[in-house]
Amino acid sequence: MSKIMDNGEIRDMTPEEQAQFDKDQSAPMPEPEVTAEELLARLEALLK
Amino acid sequence: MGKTGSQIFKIASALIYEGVNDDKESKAFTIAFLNIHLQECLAAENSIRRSKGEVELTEAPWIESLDTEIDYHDKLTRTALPYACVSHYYAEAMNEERARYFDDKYKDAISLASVAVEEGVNYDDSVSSGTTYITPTSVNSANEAAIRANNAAALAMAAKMAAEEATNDADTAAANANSAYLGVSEAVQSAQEAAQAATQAASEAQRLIEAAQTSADNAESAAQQSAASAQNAAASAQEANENVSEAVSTHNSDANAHAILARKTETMRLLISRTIGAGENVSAITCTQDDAGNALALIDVEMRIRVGANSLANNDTSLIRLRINDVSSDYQSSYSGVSATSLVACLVRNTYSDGQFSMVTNHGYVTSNGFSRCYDALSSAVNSTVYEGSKFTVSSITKLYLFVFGLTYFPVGTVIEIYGRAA
Repeated sequence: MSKIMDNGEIRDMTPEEQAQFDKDQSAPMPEPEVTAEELLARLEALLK
Repeated sequence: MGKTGSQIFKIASALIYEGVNDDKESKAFTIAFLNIHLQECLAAENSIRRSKGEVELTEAPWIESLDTEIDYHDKLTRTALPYACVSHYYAEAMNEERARYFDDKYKDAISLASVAVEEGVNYDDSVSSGTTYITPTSVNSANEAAIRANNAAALAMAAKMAAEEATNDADTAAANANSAYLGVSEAVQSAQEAAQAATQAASEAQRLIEAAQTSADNAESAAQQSAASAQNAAASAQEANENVSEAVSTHNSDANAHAILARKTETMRLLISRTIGAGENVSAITCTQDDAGNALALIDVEMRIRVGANSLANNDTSLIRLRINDVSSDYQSSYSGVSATSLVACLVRNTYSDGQFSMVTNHGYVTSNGFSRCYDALSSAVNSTVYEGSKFTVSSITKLYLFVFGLTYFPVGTVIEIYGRAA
Protein backbone atom coordinates (compact mmCIF):
# COMPACT_ATOMS: atom_id res chain seq x y z
CA MET A 1 0.00 0.00 0.00
CA SER A 2 1.40 3.40 -0.98
CA LYS A 3 1.59 6.27 1.45
CA ILE A 4 0.02 9.69 1.12
CA MET A 5 0.79 12.89 2.98
CA ASP A 6 -2.67 14.15 3.85
CA ASN A 7 -2.51 17.72 5.12
CA GLY A 8 0.90 16.99 6.57
CA GLU A 9 0.02 13.61 8.05
CA ILE A 10 1.50 10.51 6.48
CA ARG A 11 -0.80 7.53 6.21
CA ASP A 12 -1.58 4.58 4.00
CA MET A 13 -3.78 5.29 1.05
CA THR A 14 -7.36 4.15 1.19
CA PRO A 15 -8.29 1.50 -1.37
CA GLU A 16 -9.99 4.18 -3.42
CA GLU A 17 -6.94 6.42 -3.27
CA GLN A 18 -4.68 3.50 -4.13
CA ALA A 19 -6.87 2.57 -7.08
CA GLN A 20 -6.79 6.13 -8.33
CA PHE A 21 -3.03 6.31 -7.86
CA ASP A 22 -2.52 3.04 -9.76
CA LYS A 23 -4.80 4.26 -12.51
CA ASP A 24 -2.80 7.46 -12.78
CA GLN A 25 0.39 5.48 -13.15
CA SER A 26 -1.00 3.61 -16.13
CA ALA A 27 -2.23 6.71 -17.85
CA PRO A 28 -0.38 7.62 -21.00
CA MET A 29 2.17 10.37 -20.95
CA PRO A 30 0.64 13.56 -22.35
CA GLU A 31 2.27 14.79 -25.48
CA PRO A 32 4.18 17.98 -24.90
CA GLU A 33 2.67 21.03 -26.42
CA VAL A 34 4.36 22.11 -29.64
CA THR A 35 4.73 25.84 -29.91
CA ALA A 36 4.35 27.79 -33.12
CA GLU A 37 8.03 28.68 -32.98
CA GLU A 38 8.98 25.02 -32.79
CA LEU A 39 6.72 24.19 -35.71
CA LEU A 40 8.23 26.97 -37.79
CA ALA A 41 11.70 25.75 -36.90
CA ARG A 42 10.77 22.25 -38.02
CA LEU A 43 9.32 23.61 -41.23
CA GLU A 44 12.46 25.58 -41.94
CA ALA A 45 14.53 22.47 -41.31
CA LEU A 46 12.41 20.50 -43.77
CA LEU A 47 12.71 23.13 -46.44
CA LYS A 48 16.51 23.28 -46.20
CA MET B 1 70.02 -22.89 -111.34
CA GLY B 2 67.12 -22.02 -109.17
CA LYS B 3 64.95 -18.95 -108.90
CA THR B 4 63.02 -17.58 -106.00
CA GLY B 5 59.26 -17.26 -106.03
CA SER B 6 59.66 -13.51 -106.22
CA GLN B 7 61.78 -13.77 -109.35
CA ILE B 8 59.17 -15.99 -110.98
CA PHE B 9 56.48 -13.56 -109.93
CA LYS B 10 58.48 -10.69 -111.38
CA ILE B 11 58.76 -12.50 -114.72
CA ALA B 12 55.06 -13.25 -114.70
CA SER B 13 54.17 -9.65 -113.86
CA ALA B 14 56.23 -8.45 -116.78
CA LEU B 15 54.21 -10.68 -119.08
CA ILE B 16 51.01 -8.90 -118.16
CA TYR B 17 52.71 -5.47 -118.15
CA GLU B 18 52.31 -4.84 -114.44
CA GLY B 19 54.77 -3.69 -111.83
CA VAL B 20 55.80 -6.20 -109.24
CA ASN B 21 53.82 -4.48 -106.51
CA ASP B 22 50.86 -3.52 -108.64
CA ASP B 23 48.80 -6.56 -107.90
CA LYS B 24 49.18 -7.57 -104.28
CA GLU B 25 46.25 -9.94 -104.52
CA SER B 26 47.90 -11.87 -107.37
CA LYS B 27 51.14 -11.93 -105.42
CA ALA B 28 49.38 -13.39 -102.40
CA PHE B 29 48.02 -16.26 -104.50
CA THR B 30 51.24 -16.87 -106.39
CA ILE B 31 52.60 -19.08 -103.58
CA ALA B 32 49.61 -21.39 -103.91
CA PHE B 33 49.87 -21.38 -107.72
CA LEU B 34 53.54 -22.19 -107.61
CA ASN B 35 53.04 -25.07 -105.17
CA ILE B 36 50.54 -26.56 -107.60
CA HIS B 37 52.75 -26.21 -110.61
CA LEU B 38 55.86 -27.34 -108.78
CA GLN B 39 54.07 -30.62 -108.30
CA GLU B 40 52.98 -30.65 -111.93
CA CYS B 41 56.49 -29.97 -113.14
CA LEU B 42 58.14 -32.56 -110.89
CA ALA B 43 58.30 -35.17 -113.67
CA ALA B 44 59.79 -32.69 -116.12
CA GLU B 45 62.36 -31.51 -113.56
CA ASN B 46 63.37 -35.08 -112.78
CA SER B 47 63.67 -35.80 -116.50
CA ILE B 48 66.13 -32.93 -116.81
CA ARG B 49 68.05 -34.13 -113.78
CA ARG B 50 68.12 -37.67 -115.13
CA SER B 51 69.43 -36.45 -118.44
CA LYS B 52 72.22 -34.61 -116.64
CA GLY B 53 73.00 -37.40 -114.23
CA GLU B 54 71.82 -35.46 -111.25
CA VAL B 55 69.95 -36.78 -108.25
CA GLU B 56 66.25 -36.84 -108.85
CA LEU B 57 63.77 -35.31 -106.42
CA THR B 58 61.50 -37.68 -104.56
CA GLU B 59 58.86 -34.99 -104.14
CA ALA B 60 58.12 -31.53 -105.36
CA PRO B 61 59.39 -28.59 -103.29
CA TRP B 62 56.87 -26.81 -101.07
CA ILE B 63 57.31 -23.11 -100.52
CA GLU B 64 55.84 -20.92 -97.79
CA SER B 65 57.31 -17.69 -99.03
CA LEU B 66 58.20 -16.10 -102.33
CA ASP B 67 61.68 -15.59 -100.98
CA THR B 68 62.31 -19.33 -101.04
CA GLU B 69 64.63 -20.48 -103.80
CA ILE B 70 63.08 -23.20 -105.95
CA ASP B 71 65.53 -25.92 -106.83
CA TYR B 72 64.27 -26.43 -110.37
CA HIS B 73 66.10 -25.86 -113.62
CA ASP B 74 65.71 -22.64 -115.57
CA LYS B 75 63.79 -24.39 -118.33
CA LEU B 76 60.96 -24.58 -115.86
CA THR B 77 61.51 -21.55 -113.55
CA ARG B 78 62.02 -19.06 -116.40
CA THR B 79 59.27 -20.26 -118.74
CA ALA B 80 56.81 -22.87 -117.62
CA LEU B 81 56.19 -21.58 -114.09
CA PRO B 82 55.84 -17.86 -115.08
CA TYR B 83 53.44 -18.90 -117.89
CA ALA B 84 51.42 -20.93 -115.40
CA CYS B 85 51.17 -17.99 -113.01
CA VAL B 86 50.16 -15.62 -115.81
CA SER B 87 47.48 -18.07 -116.93
CA HIS B 88 46.05 -18.01 -113.39
CA TYR B 89 46.18 -14.23 -113.21
CA TYR B 90 44.13 -13.95 -116.41
CA ALA B 91 41.77 -16.62 -115.22
CA GLU B 92 41.21 -14.60 -112.05
CA ALA B 93 40.58 -11.54 -114.22
CA MET B 94 37.99 -13.52 -116.18
CA ASN B 95 40.04 -13.24 -119.35
CA GLU B 96 39.65 -16.77 -120.54
CA GLU B 97 41.29 -16.23 -123.89
CA ARG B 98 44.51 -14.94 -122.42
CA ALA B 99 44.37 -17.53 -119.68
CA ARG B 100 44.10 -20.30 -122.23
CA TYR B 101 46.90 -18.80 -124.30
CA PHE B 102 49.35 -18.83 -121.42
CA ASP B 103 48.15 -22.22 -120.25
CA ASP B 104 49.14 -23.52 -123.66
CA LYS B 105 52.47 -21.77 -123.36
CA TYR B 106 52.91 -23.43 -119.98
CA LYS B 107 52.19 -26.88 -121.35
CA ASP B 108 54.48 -26.26 -124.31
CA ALA B 109 57.26 -25.22 -121.98
CA ILE B 110 56.85 -28.45 -120.02
CA SER B 111 56.87 -30.40 -123.25
CA LEU B 112 59.99 -28.61 -124.40
CA ALA B 113 61.70 -29.42 -121.15
CA SER B 114 60.68 -33.05 -121.56
CA VAL B 115 61.90 -33.09 -125.15
CA ALA B 116 65.20 -31.95 -123.94
CA VAL B 117 65.30 -35.04 -121.83
CA GLU B 118 64.50 -37.11 -124.86
CA GLU B 119 67.25 -35.44 -126.80
CA GLY B 120 69.80 -35.62 -123.98
CA VAL B 121 69.20 -39.17 -122.83
CA ASN B 122 71.74 -41.88 -123.43
CA TYR B 123 70.18 -45.10 -124.58
CA ASP B 124 72.10 -47.24 -122.20
CA ASP B 125 71.26 -50.76 -121.17
CA SER B 126 69.00 -49.81 -118.38
CA VAL B 127 66.91 -47.67 -120.63
CA SER B 128 66.74 -50.07 -123.48
CA SER B 129 66.13 -52.98 -121.17
CA GLY B 130 62.72 -51.74 -120.03
CA THR B 131 63.16 -48.55 -118.04
CA THR B 132 60.19 -46.28 -118.73
CA TYR B 133 61.02 -43.97 -121.55
CA ILE B 134 59.54 -40.59 -121.07
CA THR B 135 57.88 -39.19 -124.09
CA PRO B 136 56.10 -35.87 -124.46
CA THR B 137 52.82 -37.75 -124.64
CA SER B 138 53.35 -39.62 -121.40
CA VAL B 139 54.59 -36.44 -119.73
CA ASN B 140 51.49 -34.61 -120.86
CA SER B 141 49.24 -37.37 -119.54
CA ALA B 142 51.01 -37.38 -116.23
CA ASN B 143 50.90 -33.62 -116.15
CA GLU B 144 47.20 -33.58 -116.88
CA ALA B 145 46.55 -35.91 -113.96
CA ALA B 146 48.86 -33.93 -111.75
CA ILE B 147 47.16 -30.71 -112.80
CA ARG B 148 43.77 -32.08 -111.90
CA ALA B 149 45.00 -33.38 -108.59
CA ASN B 150 46.75 -30.19 -107.72
CA ASN B 151 43.83 -28.09 -108.86
CA ALA B 152 41.71 -30.05 -106.47
CA ALA B 153 44.29 -29.51 -103.74
CA ALA B 154 44.40 -25.79 -104.51
CA LEU B 155 40.65 -25.57 -104.38
CA ALA B 156 40.67 -27.41 -101.06
CA MET B 157 43.32 -25.03 -99.73
CA ALA B 158 41.38 -22.04 -100.99
CA ALA B 159 38.25 -23.43 -99.37
CA LYS B 160 40.15 -23.97 -96.13
CA MET B 161 41.49 -20.42 -96.21
CA ALA B 162 38.05 -19.10 -96.97
CA ALA B 163 36.61 -21.14 -94.11
CA GLU B 164 39.30 -19.87 -91.74
CA GLU B 165 38.66 -16.30 -92.85
CA ALA B 166 34.93 -16.81 -92.43
CA THR B 167 35.55 -18.26 -88.96
CA ASN B 168 37.67 -15.25 -88.04
CA ASP B 169 35.00 -12.93 -89.35
CA ALA B 170 32.36 -14.81 -87.39
CA ASP B 171 34.47 -14.62 -84.22
CA THR B 172 34.98 -10.92 -84.73
CA ALA B 173 31.28 -10.41 -85.37
CA ALA B 174 30.40 -12.43 -82.26
CA ALA B 175 32.85 -10.42 -80.17
CA ASN B 176 31.39 -7.18 -81.52
CA ALA B 177 27.86 -8.40 -80.85
CA ASN B 178 28.79 -9.44 -77.33
CA SER B 179 30.44 -6.09 -76.69
CA ALA B 180 27.37 -4.32 -78.01
CA TYR B 181 25.14 -6.48 -75.83
CA LEU B 182 27.20 -5.66 -72.76
CA GLY B 183 27.03 -1.98 -73.64
CA VAL B 184 23.28 -2.16 -74.00
CA SER B 185 22.98 -4.09 -70.73
CA GLU B 186 25.03 -1.48 -68.91
CA ALA B 187 22.93 1.27 -70.43
CA VAL B 188 19.72 -0.48 -69.39
CA GLN B 189 21.04 -1.02 -65.88
CA SER B 190 22.12 2.62 -65.63
CA ALA B 191 18.71 3.71 -66.86
CA GLN B 192 17.01 1.47 -64.30
CA GLU B 193 19.19 2.83 -61.51
CA ALA B 194 18.52 6.37 -62.63
CA ALA B 195 14.79 5.68 -62.74
CA GLN B 196 14.89 4.16 -59.27
CA ALA B 197 16.85 7.10 -57.89
CA ALA B 198 14.41 9.49 -59.53
CA THR B 199 11.48 7.62 -58.01
CA GLN B 200 13.05 7.73 -54.56
CA ALA B 201 13.83 11.41 -54.95
CA ALA B 202 10.27 12.08 -56.03
CA SER B 203 8.94 10.08 -53.08
CA GLU B 204 11.20 11.94 -50.67
CA ALA B 205 10.18 15.26 -52.18
CA GLN B 206 6.51 14.32 -51.85
CA ARG B 207 7.07 13.30 -48.23
CA LEU B 208 8.80 16.60 -47.50
CA ILE B 209 6.02 18.52 -49.17
CA GLU B 210 3.41 16.68 -47.11
CA ALA B 211 5.43 17.18 -43.94
CA ALA B 212 5.86 20.84 -44.74
CA GLN B 213 2.15 21.17 -45.42
CA THR B 214 1.32 19.45 -42.14
CA SER B 215 3.77 21.62 -40.26
CA ALA B 216 2.41 24.70 -41.91
CA ASP B 217 -1.12 23.70 -40.93
CA ASN B 218 0.00 23.07 -37.35
CA ALA B 219 1.87 26.33 -37.25
CA GLU B 220 -1.13 28.19 -38.53
CA SER B 221 -3.37 26.54 -35.97
CA ALA B 222 -0.91 27.23 -33.16
CA ALA B 223 -0.52 30.79 -34.30
CA GLN B 224 -4.28 31.24 -34.28
CA GLN B 225 -4.47 29.80 -30.77
CA SER B 226 -1.65 31.99 -29.61
CA ALA B 227 -3.35 34.99 -31.11
CA ALA B 228 -6.58 34.07 -29.37
CA SER B 229 -4.76 33.61 -26.06
CA ALA B 230 -3.00 36.91 -26.48
CA GLN B 231 -6.28 38.57 -27.25
CA ASN B 232 -7.86 37.05 -24.14
CA ALA B 233 -4.91 38.12 -22.05
CA ALA B 234 -5.15 41.62 -23.42
CA ALA B 235 -8.86 41.70 -22.65
CA SER B 236 -8.21 40.46 -19.12
CA ALA B 237 -5.53 43.04 -18.60
CA GLN B 238 -7.80 45.72 -19.91
CA GLU B 239 -10.56 44.59 -17.60
CA ALA B 240 -8.25 44.50 -14.60
CA ASN B 241 -6.98 47.93 -15.41
CA GLU B 242 -10.50 49.22 -15.67
CA ASN B 243 -11.40 47.62 -12.34
CA VAL B 244 -8.42 49.17 -10.64
CA SER B 245 -9.15 52.53 -12.15
CA GLU B 246 -12.73 52.26 -11.04
CA ALA B 247 -11.74 51.26 -7.53
CA VAL B 248 -9.22 54.04 -7.22
CA SER B 249 -11.71 56.59 -8.36
CA THR B 250 -14.37 55.54 -5.91
CA HIS B 251 -12.39 54.15 -2.99
CA ASN B 252 -13.60 56.70 -0.49
CA SER B 253 -17.26 56.06 -1.11
CA ASP B 254 -17.48 52.44 -2.29
CA ALA B 255 -16.60 49.74 0.23
CA ASN B 256 -16.80 47.05 -2.43
CA ALA B 257 -14.24 48.90 -4.44
CA HIS B 258 -11.99 48.82 -1.43
CA ALA B 259 -12.32 45.06 -1.27
CA ILE B 260 -11.57 44.65 -4.97
CA LEU B 261 -8.55 46.83 -4.70
CA ALA B 262 -7.29 44.94 -1.70
CA ARG B 263 -7.63 41.61 -3.49
CA LYS B 264 -5.84 42.83 -6.58
CA THR B 265 -2.90 44.14 -4.67
CA GLU B 266 -2.67 41.52 -1.94
CA THR B 267 0.65 39.74 -1.72
CA MET B 268 0.61 36.01 -2.11
CA ARG B 269 1.19 34.34 1.23
CA LEU B 270 2.93 31.05 1.95
CA LEU B 271 0.15 28.74 3.05
CA ILE B 272 1.60 25.26 2.83
CA SER B 273 5.14 23.96 3.08
CA ARG B 274 6.11 20.30 2.79
CA THR B 275 9.50 18.61 2.80
CA ILE B 276 9.86 14.93 2.09
CA GLY B 277 12.10 13.36 4.68
CA ALA B 278 14.19 10.21 4.58
CA GLY B 279 12.20 7.02 4.96
CA GLU B 280 8.83 8.66 4.55
CA ASN B 281 8.24 6.98 1.19
CA VAL B 282 5.35 9.24 0.26
CA SER B 283 3.79 8.71 -3.16
CA ALA B 284 1.12 11.43 -3.06
CA ILE B 285 0.38 14.63 -1.20
CA THR B 286 -3.05 16.06 -0.70
CA CYS B 287 -3.85 19.47 0.71
CA THR B 288 -7.32 20.70 1.64
CA GLN B 289 -6.19 23.18 4.32
CA ASP B 290 -3.25 25.41 4.89
CA ASP B 291 -0.68 24.86 7.58
CA ALA B 292 -2.75 27.05 9.92
CA GLY B 293 -5.67 24.66 9.60
CA ASN B 294 -7.84 26.91 7.44
CA ALA B 295 -9.75 25.24 4.62
CA LEU B 296 -8.42 26.20 1.24
CA ALA B 297 -10.55 28.55 -0.81
CA LEU B 298 -8.04 30.17 -3.10
CA ILE B 299 -8.41 32.18 -6.24
CA ASP B 300 -4.70 32.41 -6.96
CA VAL B 301 -2.14 29.73 -6.27
CA GLU B 302 1.55 29.65 -6.88
CA MET B 303 3.41 26.43 -6.35
CA ARG B 304 7.12 25.97 -6.03
CA ILE B 305 8.67 22.52 -6.17
CA ARG B 306 12.31 21.87 -5.56
CA VAL B 307 13.80 18.47 -6.06
CA GLY B 308 17.05 17.76 -4.29
CA ALA B 309 20.15 17.80 -6.39
CA ASN B 310 21.33 14.43 -5.15
CA SER B 311 17.97 12.70 -5.15
CA LEU B 312 18.09 11.41 -8.69
CA ALA B 313 20.72 10.29 -11.08
CA ASN B 314 21.73 12.81 -13.66
CA ASN B 315 19.36 12.92 -16.66
CA ASP B 316 16.74 10.86 -14.85
CA THR B 317 13.29 12.19 -15.49
CA SER B 318 10.73 12.46 -12.74
CA LEU B 319 7.24 13.80 -13.06
CA ILE B 320 5.23 15.40 -10.31
CA ARG B 321 1.67 15.89 -11.38
CA LEU B 322 -1.06 18.05 -9.98
CA ARG B 323 -4.80 17.66 -9.91
CA ILE B 324 -7.16 20.33 -8.60
CA ASN B 325 -10.41 19.73 -6.72
CA ASP B 326 -10.50 16.06 -7.77
CA VAL B 327 -11.86 17.08 -11.10
CA SER B 328 -11.57 14.48 -13.79
CA SER B 329 -8.62 12.18 -13.90
CA ASP B 330 -8.95 11.70 -17.61
CA TYR B 331 -5.55 12.78 -18.90
CA GLN B 332 -6.46 12.67 -22.52
CA SER B 333 -9.38 15.01 -22.19
CA SER B 334 -7.35 17.22 -19.91
CA TYR B 335 -4.77 17.52 -22.60
CA SER B 336 -7.20 17.87 -25.45
CA GLY B 337 -7.58 21.59 -25.36
CA VAL B 338 -9.59 24.58 -24.35
CA SER B 339 -12.73 22.82 -23.21
CA ALA B 340 -11.02 20.19 -21.10
CA THR B 341 -12.52 19.55 -17.69
CA SER B 342 -9.45 19.16 -15.57
CA LEU B 343 -6.01 20.49 -15.12
CA VAL B 344 -3.04 18.24 -15.02
CA ALA B 345 0.27 19.95 -14.71
CA CYS B 346 3.45 18.05 -15.18
CA LEU B 347 6.77 18.98 -13.77
CA VAL B 348 9.57 17.29 -15.48
CA ARG B 349 12.93 17.29 -13.91
CA ASN B 350 15.85 16.47 -16.04
CA THR B 351 18.68 17.47 -13.80
CA TYR B 352 19.04 19.57 -10.71
CA SER B 353 16.36 22.15 -10.96
CA ASP B 354 13.35 23.72 -9.38
CA GLY B 355 10.04 24.45 -10.95
CA GLN B 356 7.15 26.65 -10.15
CA PHE B 357 3.89 27.62 -11.74
CA SER B 358 0.90 29.62 -10.78
CA MET B 359 -2.83 29.10 -11.19
CA VAL B 360 -5.44 31.79 -11.15
CA THR B 361 -9.17 31.56 -11.19
CA ASN B 362 -10.55 33.98 -13.66
CA HIS B 363 -14.24 34.28 -14.47
CA GLY B 364 -14.84 30.84 -13.05
CA TYR B 365 -11.93 29.18 -14.82
CA VAL B 366 -8.63 28.12 -13.47
CA THR B 367 -5.91 29.17 -15.81
CA SER B 368 -2.31 28.27 -15.70
CA ASN B 369 -0.64 29.85 -18.62
CA GLY B 370 2.55 30.73 -16.90
CA PHE B 371 5.26 28.44 -15.74
CA SER B 372 8.59 29.41 -14.37
CA ARG B 373 11.74 27.45 -14.29
CA CYS B 374 14.25 28.17 -11.61
CA TYR B 375 17.84 27.56 -12.40
CA ASP B 376 20.60 26.28 -10.23
CA ALA B 377 24.25 26.72 -10.86
CA LEU B 378 24.55 23.63 -12.99
CA SER B 379 21.77 23.25 -15.46
CA SER B 380 18.18 23.99 -16.25
CA ALA B 381 15.00 22.03 -16.38
CA VAL B 382 14.67 21.60 -20.09
CA ASN B 383 11.41 19.73 -20.36
CA SER B 384 9.33 21.61 -17.85
CA THR B 385 5.93 22.52 -19.12
CA VAL B 386 2.32 22.91 -18.18
CA TYR B 387 0.05 21.32 -20.67
CA GLU B 388 -3.04 22.67 -22.23
CA GLY B 389 -6.42 21.83 -20.85
CA SER B 390 -6.02 24.28 -18.04
CA LYS B 391 -9.55 25.60 -18.02
CA PHE B 392 -12.32 24.13 -16.01
CA THR B 393 -15.03 25.67 -13.94
CA VAL B 394 -14.32 26.16 -10.27
CA SER B 395 -15.12 29.09 -8.11
CA SER B 396 -12.02 28.53 -6.02
CA ILE B 397 -9.29 25.99 -5.46
CA THR B 398 -10.17 23.88 -2.45
CA LYS B 399 -7.98 20.83 -2.90
CA LEU B 400 -4.55 20.22 -4.34
CA TYR B 401 -3.42 16.68 -5.07
CA LEU B 402 0.19 16.03 -6.04
CA PHE B 403 1.51 12.63 -7.00
CA VAL B 404 4.59 11.17 -8.57
CA PHE B 405 4.58 9.63 -12.00
CA GLY B 406 7.24 7.20 -13.04
CA LEU B 407 8.67 7.17 -9.56
CA THR B 408 7.73 5.12 -6.53
CA TYR B 409 8.09 7.96 -4.04
CA PHE B 410 8.75 11.65 -3.92
CA PRO B 411 12.53 12.02 -3.89
CA VAL B 412 13.92 12.59 -0.42
CA GLY B 413 14.53 16.28 0.08
CA THR B 414 11.74 17.42 -2.22
CA VAL B 415 10.35 20.74 -1.02
CA ILE B 416 6.86 21.84 -1.96
CA GLU B 417 5.68 25.34 -1.15
CA ILE B 418 2.20 26.56 -1.97
CA TYR B 419 1.45 30.26 -1.97
CA GLY B 420 -2.08 31.47 -2.28
CA ARG B 421 -4.57 34.22 -1.99
CA ALA B 422 -8.10 33.79 -0.81
CA ALA B 423 -11.14 35.29 -2.45
